[in-house]
Amino acid sequence: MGISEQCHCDEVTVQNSLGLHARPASQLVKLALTFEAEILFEKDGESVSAKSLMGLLMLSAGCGTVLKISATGDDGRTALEAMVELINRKFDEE
Amino acid sequence: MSVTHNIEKVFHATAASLGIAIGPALVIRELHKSYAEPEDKVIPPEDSDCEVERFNVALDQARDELEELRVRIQGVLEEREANVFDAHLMIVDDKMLMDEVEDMIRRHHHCAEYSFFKVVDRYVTAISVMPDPYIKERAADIKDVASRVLGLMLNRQGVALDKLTEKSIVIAHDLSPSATATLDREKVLAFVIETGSNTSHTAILARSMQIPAIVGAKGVMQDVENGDLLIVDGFVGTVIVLPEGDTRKLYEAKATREEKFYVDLMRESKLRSETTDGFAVQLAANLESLDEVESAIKFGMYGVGLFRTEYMYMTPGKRPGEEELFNTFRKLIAEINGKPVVIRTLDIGGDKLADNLGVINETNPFLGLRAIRLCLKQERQLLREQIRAILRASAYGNLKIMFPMVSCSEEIVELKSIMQECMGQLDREGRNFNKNIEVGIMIETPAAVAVADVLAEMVDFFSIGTNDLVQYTSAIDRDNEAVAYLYRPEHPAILKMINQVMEAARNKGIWVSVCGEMAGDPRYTPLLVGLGVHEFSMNSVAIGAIRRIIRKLSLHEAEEVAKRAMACRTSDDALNESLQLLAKISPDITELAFKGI
Repeated sequence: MGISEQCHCDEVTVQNSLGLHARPASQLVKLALTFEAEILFEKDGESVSAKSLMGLLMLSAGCGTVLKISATGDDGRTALEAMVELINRKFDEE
Repeated sequence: MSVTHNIEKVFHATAASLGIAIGPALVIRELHKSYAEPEDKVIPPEDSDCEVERFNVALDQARDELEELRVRIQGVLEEREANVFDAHLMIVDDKMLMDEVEDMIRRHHHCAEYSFFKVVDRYVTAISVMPDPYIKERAADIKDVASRVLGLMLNRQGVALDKLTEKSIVIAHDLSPSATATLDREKVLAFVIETGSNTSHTAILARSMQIPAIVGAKGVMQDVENGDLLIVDGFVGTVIVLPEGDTRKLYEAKATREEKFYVDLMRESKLRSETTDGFAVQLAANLESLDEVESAIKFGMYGVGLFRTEYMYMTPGKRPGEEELFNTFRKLIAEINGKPVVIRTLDIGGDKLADNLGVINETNPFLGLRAIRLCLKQERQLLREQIRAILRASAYGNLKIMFPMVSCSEEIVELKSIMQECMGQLDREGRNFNKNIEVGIMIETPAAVAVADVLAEMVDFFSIGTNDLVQYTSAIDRDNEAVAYLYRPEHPAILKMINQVMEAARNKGIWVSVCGEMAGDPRYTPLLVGLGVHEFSMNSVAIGAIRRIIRKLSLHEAEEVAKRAMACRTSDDALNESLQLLAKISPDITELAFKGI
C-alpha cells in the first residue's frame, strides 16, 4: 500500500434522533460522491460503501450507533473529516 | 389468446356517474403492480454488453423522469421534503446496486430486469424487516423507483391520462382524485375502477365532469385487455366486456333513449321550480370551474349555490394570488348574468386534493386540520387573499361568501373580525365592495347542528353539506367500502338534524340551502322539500330531474312524508316513505331515482 493509498479511519456515534434514515443517508451519499476516495462505513462487522444509499440504509444505524468509517485514496483524509463532521453536526436536523 | 376471452362478460358494480359509453378499453396497470418478479431469461455471454446497456438506458430514462418530477414539485414542497425526493434519484444512481446487477448479467447470464429485481428485492426484504420505522419506510421508496425502472425495461410505461391519442374507456384499479381531475374529457369516454364508492371524491368529480363512471368493480382488471370493446352503463353500473352484436344494438338504443330523456328535461329548463301548491325552491349549481358555467345555464340553474375554490389550488406548483382569484370571480359573475353566486373559501383537507399546500399527513384527516381550521391556523394569508378577492368581486354582482366546516361560534367571530380587517384595508385602498355582503356557513358537523339557533343569529344563511354531515353523524368514512353501507342520508337522525337546522333558521329568518349530494338525488327530493329547504344546490346535470319532481309535488304532501320519515325506526322505512310518494307522482322519475344519480 503506497502513501497515497493510506487508509484513514475514525469512529463516530450517530447522534441525530432519527438515525441514518433516508435524508441523512442521502446527504452522506451526496457528500461521499464529491470525493475520489473509497469510503466505507462499518457496523457490527458489516461494511458498506458510503456512495451507496441502499448500503447505508441497510446498516440500520439508529441514534447511538457507533460507526467505523474508513477512507482510502488521495483525498481520503479530507473525505473522512467531512463525513465525521456531517454526522457530528447531526445533519443540521436538530 | 384463449377462446373463452371472446365471450361476452358482464360485471355489475356501483354506478357513479350517469351515461352510456361504448368504446375500446385502455387498461391502466399501476406502477406498484409492476413490482413483481419478472420472467428469468438466459442471456448468452456474447449479448451481455447489450443487456447491460439496456439496463443503463432504463436507468437513464428513470433518472430523467425523476428529475422532471423533482422540478415539478420544486417550490411546492419544502427543501427538506424535496431532499427525500433526492433519495429516489440516488437509488437510480446507486453504484453498488448497478455493479451487482451488472455482475448478475455478465457472470450469471440473467436478463436485465430479472437481475435488477433480484438485487433490489434483497435490499427491500432486508430493509422492510428493520426495527427502525423510519428506515423501514424507505422500502416503499425503493419499490417505487424499482417499479419505474422495471416498467421502463418491460415497456409498461405509465399512461399519461391527460394526453390520450384515441377515445377510450379507462379501466384502472384506482384513480386518485387528482388523476381524475386531469382526465381528458374529449378522449375518456368513461372510466371503471375496482375501488371506491359512489360518494368518493373520484365519483363526485366524474359526475361534475359528466364522464360516465362505474366504481367498486372488483376484478375487472383481470378480464379486460387493452383494446377490448366495452360497454359502460353508468345508469345501472354495468360493464360489458366484448359485447355481442345484439347487446351492442340494445345499448345503442338505450343510449339514444336516455339522451332523449335528457333533451326533454332540458326543454323544461325554463319552467319554474315550484310545487303544485306554490312553494318555490331555488335550484342552484355546485361548480368548481368557469368551464362548467355554460352547461349549468343550459340545465336551467337559478344561481351558483356553491362555488368551490379548491380546484384553483390543484395545479402543482401553482397557487393563485388575490388578483387571479378576483379575476376568476369577476368572470364568473359576468358569465352568469347577475344570478346569485355563493363562493366558499378553501375547503382542503380530508379527502380533498392538497398536494399543493403544505398539508401534513394526519392519522385522522377528517377530524383534523381541514377547511376553515387550516385557514385560521396555518393559512391566514391565503384566507385573507380569498376574502379580499371575494369582497372586491362583490362590487360587480350578487356575491355571497361562505365558510366551510364551522363547528363553533368562536370560529364565526374570528372569521368576521378578519372580514372586518379586510374591509378596512379595502376602504383605505379606495376599492369598491359590497359592505352588506351576505355571509353564510356550511352546516356539516353535528356540533353546528346542535347550536344552529346560536349560529343563525350570527350569519345570513346556512348551507347544509349533507355528505360530511352524514359522515360525521354516523361516524363512517364514505370511502371505506367495509362501512359504506352505513352511509344513509335518509337515516332518521339526519332528517331530524336537517329539521332542527330548518327550525333554527326559520326562527331567525335566515334562508337554508342543501349543497350535498342529497340535493341532486331524486330519491330525497320529497324529504328535503317537506323539511322546507329553500335552495337545492347540486351538480347541474341533476337540475332537470329535480325540477320535474318538484313541479309534481305538493308542499303539503311532502311535509307529511318528511314528518313520517323522521319518525321511522329504520333508514329503509324512511326512504320508502319518499319513494312511495315519488312512485305516485312521477313513475318515470322513480326509474331514474333507483339508478342512483
